[in-house]
Amino acid sequence: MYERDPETLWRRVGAGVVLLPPGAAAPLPLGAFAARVWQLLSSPTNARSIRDTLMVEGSLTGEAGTRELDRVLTLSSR
Amino acid sequence: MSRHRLSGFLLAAIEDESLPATEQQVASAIGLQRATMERVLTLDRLMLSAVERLTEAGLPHRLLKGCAHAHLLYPDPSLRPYVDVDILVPSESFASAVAALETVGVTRVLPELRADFDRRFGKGATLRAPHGGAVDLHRTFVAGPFAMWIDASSLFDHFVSLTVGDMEVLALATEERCLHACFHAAVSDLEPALISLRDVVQAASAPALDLDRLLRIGGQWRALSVIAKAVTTAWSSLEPEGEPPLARWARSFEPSAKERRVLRAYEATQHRWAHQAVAGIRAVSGVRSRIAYATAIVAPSRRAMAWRGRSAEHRLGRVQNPLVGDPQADETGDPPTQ
Repeated sequence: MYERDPETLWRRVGAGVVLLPPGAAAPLPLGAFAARVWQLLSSPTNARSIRDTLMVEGSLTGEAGTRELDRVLTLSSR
Repeated sequence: MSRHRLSGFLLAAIEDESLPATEQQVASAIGLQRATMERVLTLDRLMLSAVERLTEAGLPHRLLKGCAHAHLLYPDPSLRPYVDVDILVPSESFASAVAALETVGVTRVLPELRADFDRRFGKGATLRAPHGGAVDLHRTFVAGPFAMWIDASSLFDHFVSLTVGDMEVLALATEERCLHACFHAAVSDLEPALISLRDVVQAASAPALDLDRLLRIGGQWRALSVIAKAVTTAWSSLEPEGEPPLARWARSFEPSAKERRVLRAYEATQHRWAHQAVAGIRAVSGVRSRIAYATAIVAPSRRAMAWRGRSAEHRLGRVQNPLVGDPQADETGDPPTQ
């Protein structure tokens, strides 16, 4: 299961999001794909559910998309 | 755009297509808002450290302005940028709060004018972080006469809480928050940032606002003219839709001659701090207190003088005639948080 780290500070910026996870040296600006993942993490969920939702929406395609999803999940959740 | 802290509203207007923009303009607006929000998040981290430290030290506190307004007055906190952290502490805890905050790495910018000035008469003090950002530690909302008339201890009687990260933070109650927005818009800055006027609109339009309670407190603080000025200025400048009861009240309010005179101390275009300081002398109760206040203004401690690098004679000459110079202006040219 994944969920937002409650200690991570964040703000929406247009379609993107800026995160400041605990311990990070500087804020992380993330694009629209990551912002959608962040939105999906507003309640505890599993990776498969997130992946399925993104695939239905057409924003997750191919190997590169899966790698990006894994990266964002590592950055933004616990 | 940056001075008025409107990057969030700019981007929102582009997003809902009420403001047409080219691709380049959209990219610029996103870049500006991203940089602004990165700074805001860094400030939130500083704020959480400060609040945690004050809590550990057992010192009461209330979050003011920026972060509190962003979360409590606006539908999306991204609409409300800020440039520092503002925290209110009780007068009697002021020195302890400065000491506690210095353990989280912030350092007081200006020394106290004279011993006990902060606790008795001061607005507050600025504590700077080494890598940017600052905590404005407040004893009250503003300097000058209103610093004596605002019942700062009553600001701790009520609160609302907000969650930032995983921490619950206490802020002023609805009416007190509206009053602070009015003070900031009406008397803190000569030309308030438009976001400060927007704060007034948001606070005045809050469904939970109890108008009777607001005006009762405002009357006790002799601040009805401040409320009226802030609200009428906000409505005439921003022309928001609708007119809540507070805006209707403000439109019909007529300040007395005395209220107008007090406001003028805050409207001086030059040497504002000196005008406010002199006007403050009249507001101090008791002869001894009045002498202590005036002495601190005219003859600050050696340490305070040394920091500013000015001679007592130079200072005395300027305070005696506030129209000649501003003896207390800090490096920004604004009246100091002192």
